[in-house]
Amino acid sequence: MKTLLVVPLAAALFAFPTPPAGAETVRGEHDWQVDTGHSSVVFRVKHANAAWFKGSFDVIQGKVTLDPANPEAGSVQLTIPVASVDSNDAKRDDHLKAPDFFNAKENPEITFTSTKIAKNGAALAVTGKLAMAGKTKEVTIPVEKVGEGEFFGKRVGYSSTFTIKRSEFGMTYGVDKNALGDEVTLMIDLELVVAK
Amino acid sequence: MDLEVVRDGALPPIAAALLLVSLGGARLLPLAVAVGLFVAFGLLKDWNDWPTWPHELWDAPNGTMWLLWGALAACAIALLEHLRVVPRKAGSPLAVLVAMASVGLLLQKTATANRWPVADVVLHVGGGMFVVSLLAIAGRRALERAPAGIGPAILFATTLSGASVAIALSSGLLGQLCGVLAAAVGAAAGTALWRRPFALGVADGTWLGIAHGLFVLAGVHLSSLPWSAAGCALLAPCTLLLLGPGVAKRPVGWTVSALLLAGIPLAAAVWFAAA
Repeated sequence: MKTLLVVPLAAALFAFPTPPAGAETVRGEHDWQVDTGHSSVVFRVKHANAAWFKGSFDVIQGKVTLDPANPEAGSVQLTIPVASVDSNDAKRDDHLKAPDFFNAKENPEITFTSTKIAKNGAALAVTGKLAMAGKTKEVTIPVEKVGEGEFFGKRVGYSSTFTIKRSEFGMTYGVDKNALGDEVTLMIDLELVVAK
Repeated sequence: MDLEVVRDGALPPIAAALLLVSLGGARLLPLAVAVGLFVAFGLLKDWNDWPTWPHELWDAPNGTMWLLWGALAACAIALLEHLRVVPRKAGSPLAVLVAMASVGLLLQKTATANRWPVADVVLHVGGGMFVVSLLAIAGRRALERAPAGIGPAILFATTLSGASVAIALSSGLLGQLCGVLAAAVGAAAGTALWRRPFALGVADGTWLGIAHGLFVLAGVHLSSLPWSAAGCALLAPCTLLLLGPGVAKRPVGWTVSALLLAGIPLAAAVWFAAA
């Protein structure tokens, strides 16, 4: 019987592969990176079908390649660490990270990777794969340019507000009883700086 | 307590246990647990999301789904042992195999997503395999030495309920699913009121130990159950081994002693989880 209990320890050594190394990229003049300190992600969801509740993710990272003359050739890659969720209550943040919602231990990041950028009047329609809680869905989000300026280097700002259904990402906790709404509005404001 | 959660989480295992154990006896309890768990998961989570079959999980691993399949596999081997398809001698080695595979699959995505170094893999995966294997063997050993009657069922229903409450403080879904196991055992013990006396068999130690261990580990690694609470919850069923054969001759004394022994770590587990 003792032998039986030693086997698991030995088996664990061979059970998991080592992580792959990251790839290098080449920077161009239209390459930007997210200024995390001046960008924000706020979400809004209806609580008990009675009132809007707002929370945020304190960190958003990523890179954007965008030529104003040719936006269709651009790309957007954004990453939001789920650990940065902030609902103004530490216990509630833990619950949001649990399998009931984001399942953050297994899916530590929310990612958006664009597949198509199209002009939509003065704005852009960015289509891409939104991945969270282990599910990936294609979404098209409206993006408008807010402005540009100089502050320790060139900066440009973009804003996007769009709504998703959390149940489509497997987050069904409290949906059927309307404890927490299915539709979640995301308000993403990015300040981009020239990529280093 | 939300009545819909009680309906979705508790009714399937209670109905399955009452029906199957009434018709086929205590040996069908693992089948009742498996059916109850399967249906309750679908109702609590989302039928659109369930079932995710094991072959689909190879490509897109998900610890919660593997947790369910691990518990179902433990129920399956316990049922086969009850039906004597699997001989008693093979029960413990099979339990260890299922425990190891279940823990490995449960933690696979967490380990890779968080890029655990080898030391963490050894500690968490190897340690988890060891602890869950130990719980399965301890469960079998405890039931081998336990008195006949519903005492052991009451005790295991209590340990699962306590673990369920502790886990629910960090994840409603995992806590409710752990509660499904307790509801099934409790309902099965209730059949003793109109049927022949109910008693858990040695084979039940396999699914009780593996499922208990898997849910507590899931509480830690998939949610935010503190290690202090998890340790106490894992310790609770092991306290039965402290009861010698002499105590088993007095079923009421055994049940009271077992409840007192297991109750202390269970209360501590809930306290740590709520802190």
